Amino acid sequence: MKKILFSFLWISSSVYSYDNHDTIRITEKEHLKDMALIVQQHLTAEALYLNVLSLDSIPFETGKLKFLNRIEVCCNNIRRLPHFFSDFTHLEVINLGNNLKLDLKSSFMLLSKCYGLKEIQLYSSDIKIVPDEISLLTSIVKLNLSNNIIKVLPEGMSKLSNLEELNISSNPINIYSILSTIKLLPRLKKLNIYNCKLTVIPDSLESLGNLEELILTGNKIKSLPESISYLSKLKTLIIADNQIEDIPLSIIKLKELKVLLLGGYKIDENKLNYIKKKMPWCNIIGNKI
Amino acid sequence: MGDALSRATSFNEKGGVITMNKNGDQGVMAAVSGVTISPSSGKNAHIDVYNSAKPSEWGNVSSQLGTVHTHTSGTETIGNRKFGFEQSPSGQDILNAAGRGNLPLNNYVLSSSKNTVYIYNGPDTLATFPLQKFLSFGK
Repeated sequence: MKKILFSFLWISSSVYSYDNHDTIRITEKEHLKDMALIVQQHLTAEALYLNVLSLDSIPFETGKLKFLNRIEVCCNNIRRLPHFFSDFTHLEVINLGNNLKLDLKSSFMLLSKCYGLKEIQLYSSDIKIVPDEISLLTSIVKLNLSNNIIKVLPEGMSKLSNLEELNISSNPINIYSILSTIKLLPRLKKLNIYNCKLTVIPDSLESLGNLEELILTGNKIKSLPESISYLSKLKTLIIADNQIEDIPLSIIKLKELKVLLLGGYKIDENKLNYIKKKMPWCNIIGNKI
Repeated sequence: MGDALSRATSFNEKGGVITMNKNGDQGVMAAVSGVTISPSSGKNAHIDVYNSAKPSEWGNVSSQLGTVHTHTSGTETIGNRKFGFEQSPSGQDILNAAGRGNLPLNNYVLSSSKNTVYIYNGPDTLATFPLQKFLSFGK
């Protein structure tokens, strides 16, 4: 009786409603022992948060939560996703970030059965090779591979025909190889290449004609290529925290560009003023270094 | 800013760029929050302050005045070992600041676990300041 009372007291503080959806959020590892009871009482839960709990695996009781559309299990030591993941037919978002030993190949194969999956977080996980099985995740719209040790992306990436947002920041990428892969993504709108130690942006950037937002912050880029003018749908270009000395005059062809955020720059003021005058539709923001 | 700090007891960083808009009003362009990181994983928590949550709002900004971000105070205990994150400006913070020109307000790291505001620029940390005093300005 005493034990049940404790469980109920704890559940009331750890499980709560969020935006009218039932959410299970466990923040202390010791509370996992009550997982079976929690699951039983929240079988219609739509979101599950099991972050930073030193988990080696995902509790098997969670397999009963058939209505989950969001699962966050980041910052654990999970190696494999359980087989019941393929039953999560409502799943839209999964955060698997900062699990250093996760078997990506089997994870991608399981998640490929979640036909409504839209977003995967796989940041800070020591990923060196992205398995080609990522090509099975054709429904995803948003992919975060930041802060890993990725140099190239697999050819299978090009099959992610619904991908709109790719975050490949803080990786030692080969920009030439990456661009040749992602140029085949027909719907890519937002690309984040923050902090990748880039010194140049190749002309092949022009192949990303559907981009609307490009983030190049925190690199060592000194100039942009002339081909930037081919990104005709670009609305936001962020190149702060670089060493920008020059931007091509062709940038004035970007009629949709609303924001050019330079941060600090070393560009000749006369040239910059000329560009500003020629692009009254664009807000150019920065501080001379 | 106070709200961002109260949420910094989790395992990610919050922040943004301090700006002045075209009407002369100061504000903060909030960045997309940094990702959740386990301190025991050996990975650094981080945030790109320029990766704005609502980038279109830059359209109304006339100038950038400084940057601000929190350093997460979340800790993790495994066995007898307790893990946490560095609270003062990191080498990357200083490096980033070096490329931002002479911002009128410099750059700020807010640390709730050390109750300290670190004010820094390119070369180094310039000063520290009690956090509560910082948050009470204008009250």
